[in-house]
Amino acid sequence: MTEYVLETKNLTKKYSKRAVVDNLSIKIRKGDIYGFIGKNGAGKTTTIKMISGLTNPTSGSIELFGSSDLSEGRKKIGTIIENPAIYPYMSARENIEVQRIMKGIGDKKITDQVLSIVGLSDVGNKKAKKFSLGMKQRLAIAIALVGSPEFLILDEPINGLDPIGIKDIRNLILKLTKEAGITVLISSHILGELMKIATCYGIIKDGRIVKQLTVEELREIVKPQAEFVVNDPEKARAIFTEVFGINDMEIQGNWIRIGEAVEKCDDIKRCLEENDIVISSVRTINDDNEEYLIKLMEEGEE
Amino acid sequence: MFGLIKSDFYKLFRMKSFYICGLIAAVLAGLGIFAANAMDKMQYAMYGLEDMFISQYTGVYSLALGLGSATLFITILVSMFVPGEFKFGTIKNIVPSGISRMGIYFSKFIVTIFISVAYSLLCAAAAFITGCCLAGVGDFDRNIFLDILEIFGLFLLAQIALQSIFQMMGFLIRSTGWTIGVNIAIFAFLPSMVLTLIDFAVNSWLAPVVASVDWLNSWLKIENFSSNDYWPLPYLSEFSNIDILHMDFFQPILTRGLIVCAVYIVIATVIGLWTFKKRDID
Repeated sequence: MTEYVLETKNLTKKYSKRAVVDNLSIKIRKGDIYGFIGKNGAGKTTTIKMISGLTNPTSGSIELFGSSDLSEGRKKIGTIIENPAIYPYMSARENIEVQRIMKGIGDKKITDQVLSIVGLSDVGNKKAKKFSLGMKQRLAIAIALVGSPEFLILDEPINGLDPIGIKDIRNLILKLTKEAGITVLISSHILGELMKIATCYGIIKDGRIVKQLTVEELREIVKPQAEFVVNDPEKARAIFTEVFGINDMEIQGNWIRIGEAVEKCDDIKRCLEENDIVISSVRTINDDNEEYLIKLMEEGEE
Repeated sequence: MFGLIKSDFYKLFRMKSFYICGLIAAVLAGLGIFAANAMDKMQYAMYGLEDMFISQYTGVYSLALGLGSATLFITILVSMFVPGEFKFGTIKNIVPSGISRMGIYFSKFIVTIFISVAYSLLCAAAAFITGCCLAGVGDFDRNIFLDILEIFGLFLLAQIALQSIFQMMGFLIRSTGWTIGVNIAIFAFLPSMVLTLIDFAVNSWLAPVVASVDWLNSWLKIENFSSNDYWPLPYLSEFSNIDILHMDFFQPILTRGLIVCAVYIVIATVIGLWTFKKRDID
């Protein structure tokens, strides 16, 4: 049976009469890296705040680890919501200590462990207010990791980071999921980055979930295809089938679209030319997952 | 909950302001006794009685007087400490960890009580040392010691009543700058401005109206109304006076003060907690 870390049912948040989150139902499986995607103002942060207990839902329900006892469930989560939440007048170690003491963890080694995980072991007594944004973000992740959470909720964790900082955070998240088996809900509008780590996606638009899909489903939907316009489509079809073993094919007049072996496009082109077939044009289409997700974010599901 | 209280103390002890405000409060408490003693001395000198001058500001006498010096700095520190979690956004690390909002509110309440106790004791100690230096320890026996303990308890009650209001403001306003401003206004200007206006309005306009209606007058007789009686701040000085424990004249003030302070603690806590539970965290 699939184990869900988070399940929301018809979660709604209204300000006055306007629904910022509208009947939102999502499920996150244990071990997933759930990419929560949407434009600014789509309702991502409000949803995350409701899950974390910062905002009271107007209606709907939330279950964490299969239970509606959210106080217990929240003890097993770590969060970063919007900006890194740290005490600027404390060092990295002291910031971690605050969280360790608050969570009633007696083992002081945990402080060194989490600092080491995020690569902040050697910052000494430098106050957090003097940290770069990347360091603050890593410290915030370290704070979220105190108490070995089973579920990490990261709201825009790469905002404002330079490319190296983004890469560091990405690698850190991958390491955490791989080594500690942590489930991650990560929201971002930097799709390219999210697509490098997410194992499934939830696309939110105007407070509603437009689509939820796994990486495999996304690959299936956004299957790369190639279009050829040739003078002899029947002869070309024979070459596609016999030489390249392509069966997923559509022909209309001089136009042929293939859904397989797209990566061999150059070889196919060469082969057709060697067989005296004149190619008027070749183009690959629908090979951009990012484009597909952006389309969902902007237009919703067709 | 216990972990949260411990972590709140950890945060407090790492705030430079905690030590700076404490130091300034203690210095001012000592200076206050020194200045009062000097004023007495000047007055004696003015009447040519300098040779007869005996300082009344002994260590024991100064002890209770020093308590009051702490209040302004308690106001400032509470106004920095409580909304600090909102300012730094660190409330977003606390709420999602499964601790109830009531727990969060009461943890802060306990720490602010500690601030009140610590600063009051510090100021009392500074005043005591200054008094000892100026005029010796003074008469000190078991009864005085018990009186001082009682006074300290009463003073603390008035202090907690005020601090409950300051904490409520911190949770309502959620900004350190604004909370400090509003709380200092409450502490310093409310009695002299707003309460005076209320007294004027009640005594000048409401009292004659009530007096002109028999049934209302018999039920609600207004004579020399003073809103200060229903505000905890004046009780800080009333409760710093050892005489309040023994003289019959002060008994109604003592009783009223106890009720007023208790009511403010309850009302401010209920409002602060209720709004904290209901409002979203941005």
